[in-house]
Amino acid sequence: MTVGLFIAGMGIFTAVALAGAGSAIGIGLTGQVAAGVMSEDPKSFGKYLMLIALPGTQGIYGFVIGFLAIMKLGILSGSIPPVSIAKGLNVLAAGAPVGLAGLVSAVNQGKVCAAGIQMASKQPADMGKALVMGVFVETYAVLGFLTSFFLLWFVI
Amino acid sequence: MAVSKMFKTNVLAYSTMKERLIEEIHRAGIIEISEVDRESIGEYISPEEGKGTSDINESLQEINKLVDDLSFSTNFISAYLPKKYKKKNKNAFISEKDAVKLAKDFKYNIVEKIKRYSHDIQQINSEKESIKSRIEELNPWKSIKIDFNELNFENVKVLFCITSTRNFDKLNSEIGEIDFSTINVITETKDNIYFTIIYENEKESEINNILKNMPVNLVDFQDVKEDIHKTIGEYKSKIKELDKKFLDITDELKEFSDEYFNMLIALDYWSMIYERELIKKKFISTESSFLLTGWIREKDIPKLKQIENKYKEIDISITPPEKEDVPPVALENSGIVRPFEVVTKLFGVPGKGEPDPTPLLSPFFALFFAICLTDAGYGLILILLGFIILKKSKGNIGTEQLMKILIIGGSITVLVGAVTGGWFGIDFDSLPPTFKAIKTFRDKLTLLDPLKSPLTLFIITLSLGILQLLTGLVVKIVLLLKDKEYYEAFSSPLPNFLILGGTVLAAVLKNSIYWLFPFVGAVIMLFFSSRSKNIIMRLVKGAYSLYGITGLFGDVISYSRLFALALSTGVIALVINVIVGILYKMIISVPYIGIPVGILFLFIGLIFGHIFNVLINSLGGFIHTTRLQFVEYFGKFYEGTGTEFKPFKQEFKYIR
Repeated sequence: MTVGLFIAGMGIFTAVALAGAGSAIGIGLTGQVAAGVMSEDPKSFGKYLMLIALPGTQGIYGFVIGFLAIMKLGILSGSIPPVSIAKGLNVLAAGAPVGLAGLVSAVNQGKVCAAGIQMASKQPADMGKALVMGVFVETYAVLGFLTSFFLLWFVI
Repeated sequence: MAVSKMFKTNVLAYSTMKERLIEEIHRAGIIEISEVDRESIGEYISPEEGKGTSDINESLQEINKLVDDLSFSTNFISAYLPKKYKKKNKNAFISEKDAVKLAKDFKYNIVEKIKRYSHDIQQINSEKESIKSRIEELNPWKSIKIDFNELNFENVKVLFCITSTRNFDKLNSEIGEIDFSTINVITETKDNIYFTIIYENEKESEINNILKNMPVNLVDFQDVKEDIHKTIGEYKSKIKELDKKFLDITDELKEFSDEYFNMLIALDYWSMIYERELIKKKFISTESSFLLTGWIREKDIPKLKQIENKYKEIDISITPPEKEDVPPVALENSGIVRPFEVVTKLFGVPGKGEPDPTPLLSPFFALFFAICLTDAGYGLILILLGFIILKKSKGNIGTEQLMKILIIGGSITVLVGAVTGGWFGIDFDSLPPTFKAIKTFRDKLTLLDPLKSPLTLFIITLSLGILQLLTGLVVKIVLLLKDKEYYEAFSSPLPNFLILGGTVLAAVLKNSIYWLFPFVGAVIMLFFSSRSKNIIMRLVKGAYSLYGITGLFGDVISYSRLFALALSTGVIALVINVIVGILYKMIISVPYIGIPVGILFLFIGLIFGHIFNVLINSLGGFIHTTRLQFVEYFGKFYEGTGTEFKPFKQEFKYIR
């Protein structure tokens, strides 16, 4: 493994692991609250499903960036590709936006959605508002993802 | 646009007709009955006269108890029914006439019997629990192999104690200081120590003093007659007895299986009667007559007239709402737009004077949802899924409309997918040459490959966003003009429209002459946003609203989420194919069993993988599309502060 490939690997790690960790924490939060709410109202699982799953998208964004990087580097071809240090640094830079934005936004989105589940359990008519508030947080993960994508697609 | 016209209605009739009339109105389900405004009719009926609710409350309580009992009983025995009964009753229906007869003939002592059984079961369970916890308590002491009957000594006492490991040493040393007292440890767990204290009778007060100040639990073995093992055995056999008793009861409960469906019908029937009784609280009643008021849709008026014609002595007035009235809102859309009412309702129905935004949002909604998926294959899956669930959820209007959205969105997804060349994420470039015909067919349909020219798709999504924002602004202008709020229209949505539209024109046509529009817009905004007479205040406020246009461009950027979702759906689909492909190659290289197992894996992996991707991304697509409607689009012209029209209507689960 060359140094360049290692640095590129760190970029992939940043994208996939940080965003994924954020999503895991976020869904952890929403899942716990939903389980509490469902103990009172067992039939409401389908109703809260969207709010529970919402913080999961960051992990997917991170994974998409990670996979595209793997594809672009030619790792899927089966042989170890030559990667220059400069290229590795580029991948590292490309992975950072989605990783960091994903980590922070997924955790906070989890908090918002968890509160939203509680709100919707008491005011079922406000489900739509709870969803929209959750998606407000997601915007910044989307922006991070897009930045990562363009860095990856047009620079490398 | 499509908000039903509402009329106010007053129905005045004799008390003797009350029950029949309520039934008629309930069955028709056309009036939202509201509380009669007592002040407005004060001249005609004195407040004392108008009360008469005490007898209503009594019968309400009675019916409520019956409904509670029935719903408890059905819930309770449904857990003990043989499976086939549940399945059999899932789609069973009965006509209303039969149901009424059935509910009246139903032997309600069955409910009492079931309640008794549930009480028995509760008792058995609590007894079992207490025995189990006693066994837990006794277990640590099992190693004492003495006859507890012989533990009564003349001069010496034995205490059985539990304390935490932390406190034990201190206790041990304190007890040790008292003459002729000993501590014997029986057993230890991670946190607790189980031990005995043996002491002379005369030292009792000293021992008690020590124990008082320590967190020590004394264990009582009164129920142990001989040795502990034997007692535990007795308890275990008692549990077995209780279990048998429980099984006997569940067997007896199965005899109610045939009554289960009847109970559901009775529950349905009595819930309806309860509603009819409850609604009376909103009436004003006197000895001889009663009055109800409510709202009715224009199209339902003939139905009400029919009721009026049936009875001679009844007075029904239908009047259009007055200015200060706020009628409830019923959405009225037809055909393909109708399902999207779900989305509008999620946000809130239109307030007074607002139009129904459903027709305005439905084309955008369907298109945006499709862009989030951009895969023709996935569109087909959604259509299929929509039809299956639609068939299964007949009668549930919310789900039906949602599934129709799924079908419409799925159809457009097929189109968008075909145009972008997405078919289950297949990488057509690496297909073997045998599939060349498919590839050329696909390439002919494809106008734009998102992974090959991502920027184009990015710009398309932003353009669609700009289109939606401009639409929203135009709608706002039209609404304000309709209300003759010319200044409002001129000072707020118009400059926004000029700035956004003009910037786009200038950027696309690359002609700087078009920058004139945004410039004019900015000038209007700066000088006319505020109506203040003070010129400095005016300019400050104008500058502040000018700053607000950053939000407008933020709104445009927000539409990039469509591109992000489209991309992630496509890439995940690709990932599924690649990973399943790699694993498949690995599996088929195994000798003998490799090929069949590999092919099996290929099918299962692809099907599960793609279904997972469809579900997760249509979820995301739905939420994000909804957000774009609610925040970016509605933010321009719609508040949705109305209350929904909810007519007094019969709703059954099992009666048709």
